Amino acid sequence: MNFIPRQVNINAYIRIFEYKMIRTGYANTVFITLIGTAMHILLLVMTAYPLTKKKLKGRNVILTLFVLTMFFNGGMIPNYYLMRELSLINTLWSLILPGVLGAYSIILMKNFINEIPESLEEAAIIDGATEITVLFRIILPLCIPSIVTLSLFHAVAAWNSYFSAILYISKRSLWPLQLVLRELIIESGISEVNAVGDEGAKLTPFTLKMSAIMIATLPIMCVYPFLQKYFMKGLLLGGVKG
Amino acid sequence: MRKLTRILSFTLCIMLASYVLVGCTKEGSSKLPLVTTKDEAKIETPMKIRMVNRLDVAYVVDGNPVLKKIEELNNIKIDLEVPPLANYNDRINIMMASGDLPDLMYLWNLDNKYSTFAKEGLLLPLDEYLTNAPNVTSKSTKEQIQAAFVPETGKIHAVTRPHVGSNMGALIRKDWLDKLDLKMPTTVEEFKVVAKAFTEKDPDGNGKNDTYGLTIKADAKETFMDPAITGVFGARSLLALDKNGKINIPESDGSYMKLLEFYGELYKMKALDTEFYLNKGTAARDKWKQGKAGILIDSMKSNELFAPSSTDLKKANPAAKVDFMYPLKNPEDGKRYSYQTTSVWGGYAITKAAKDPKRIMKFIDWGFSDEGITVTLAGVKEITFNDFDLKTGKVTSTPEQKAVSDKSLGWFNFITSIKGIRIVNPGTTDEERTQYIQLENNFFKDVNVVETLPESIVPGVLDERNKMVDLEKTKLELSVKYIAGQASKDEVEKFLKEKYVPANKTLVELTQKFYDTSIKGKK
Repeated sequence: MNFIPRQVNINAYIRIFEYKMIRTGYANTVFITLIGTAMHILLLVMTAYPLTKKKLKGRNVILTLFVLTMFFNGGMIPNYYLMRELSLINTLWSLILPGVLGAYSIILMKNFINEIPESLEEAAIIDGATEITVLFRIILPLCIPSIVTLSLFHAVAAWNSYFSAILYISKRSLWPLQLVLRELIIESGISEVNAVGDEGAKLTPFTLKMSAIMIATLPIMCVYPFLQKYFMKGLLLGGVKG
Repeated sequence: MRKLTRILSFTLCIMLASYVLVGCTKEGSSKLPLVTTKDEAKIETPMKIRMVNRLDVAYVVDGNPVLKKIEELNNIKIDLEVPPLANYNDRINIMMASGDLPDLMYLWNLDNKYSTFAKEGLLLPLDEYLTNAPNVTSKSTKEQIQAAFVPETGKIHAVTRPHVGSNMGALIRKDWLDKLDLKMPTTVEEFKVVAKAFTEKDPDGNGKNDTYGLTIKADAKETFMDPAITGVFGARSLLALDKNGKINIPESDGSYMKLLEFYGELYKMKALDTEFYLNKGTAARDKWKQGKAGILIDSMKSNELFAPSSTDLKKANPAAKVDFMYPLKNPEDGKRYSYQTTSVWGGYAITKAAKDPKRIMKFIDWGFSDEGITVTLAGVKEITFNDFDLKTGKVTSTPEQKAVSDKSLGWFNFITSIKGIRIVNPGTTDEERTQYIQLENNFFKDVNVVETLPESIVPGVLDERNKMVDLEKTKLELSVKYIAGQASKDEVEKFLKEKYVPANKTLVELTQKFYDTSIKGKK
């Protein structure tokens, strides 16, 4: 076995991208990740900010209800039933909506917003800003480290999701990338990839599998170094001082 | 403005509080209104069948011409769900547990889950319907129909998919045999010589010592009980009788130990892949396709000469030639044996949610008819084939039609063999088809096939098997260690004698009782 390849070519990557299910899987995963993360951040900020207000009536009750969801879960069967009742089976929304807002993220964000001095908000209100203006023009810009951190958490989770797809998606055109990979690698569907394209290009199944894995992990690996500083900053500020 | 904010906040709080009422629904209110069969008969619209099927990765559902033809010929509309292959059983379990039952579903394994579904009334008993299914009963053997019998209910709850006869062996590199001037091995000693030569004599001619004689996988309890080899040492399936005409397990009479010794010797000679214990899933097949091994033992049938196990190898190495090795001869009597269970490939079950089980059964029966076989195995004339001869199994098609059929046919069929003989012969040329037919004919001439019913039909056996999951895992680990030289023969024999065989006592007794009353008693 050689560490350095004897021959370098990108035929395996080309062959992988010629396979339709990889392309649809990529598109679905990108959709789930982008839309899911955007919805996650919007809902997160809109949920966490009011919970920082001590004068909000029932704040503690609402917070307790959120925290309870961290300990108890309906389970796989009730969740499947819920998705079916909401007619979300065989739609991409079944992969986005169930996990769009988590109690852990709410607590982290709430703690982070708590660190922002109230005097800033008061000054803005005195200047005539509404609550919505305060949220989006004062609070949100100051929460960027935390938002980036939590976005990254959510984006990675969404990128890697496949079990929800197993439960809720039967249409192959809606399978996310990880599920397509699993079918190719575990179920030897890689021979279907080999059937695509030029018969003259001979590729071993192992090469194709490794190429598929690289294609699936490369985007996240590329994004992470740029967000790493926000990630570390956000963890420390949001988590330790809470 | 403040008043408006207050009203908005109050409304949002009410909406949040009403969330807890989501769980309170009127029973039965969640059922979607469906057009009933009576209504459909009046207005003559096709009957909708919700079907869950296990289909290969290449199969395309949308715009599938074969699926459309099936629907046209049966006046049905199939709402086909195709869960991921790797988690097909998980999806079935979820659907059954949540009550989201399809009308018709394919069950890959007729195992304890199947029995559980049947016991809980989720699957309809089909005995009555089978009496009006002439195609099913004429094209399946009694044993194949009986393979879906559930002892706990005393009924048959699925229509099994008859599969090709039990012609299991191994794949071997013919070009390596020719290069090293060796013959196809027929005995254990010849096999060892060939495997050693494949390892030591550089059969691929690249000047490197990078090939093995044989590769196998090591992640399944059936691994060392491959039919290519078990017949040599008399290691039988559960319902096959031993020399004394009794039911017994191979771990109790020494035949299992002989199997392990065989592999152990090959490992010592380095003729067995020295990393075989890492081979999970398809890893052994991948190594074979990469040209690392000269013999592949992994539940291989002769049609594998024309399937990805061979075609992928040839794509990577056009000079490769593959041949099929029959089970090796038993040294005691010089005969070849192949111990197999009834050849079925899962079965189709009608669930209790089906509005018109008779009509669905009629559809399944159509799948066994000549027309149904033609459509599901060859496709649509002029779209996926030009000519199909049901008698010879020859399909004539252009490369374009083959490309369409590869995506349109897949595993959506109800029968692949009639009384053990494959319907569509594999191979793309007349030469290949002739080769396959010869291999099949010679197999049944040269090999004594001992076919038994699956153990799932024996009452209580699956429950006993469930209790022994950890024990089986320990046995597999110990077997792998022994072959790799990490455990002694005494350790393995002690484990088998003191733990494994006693744990299987009830299993053997149940099977013997079943055999005496239900099989021997009826002969």
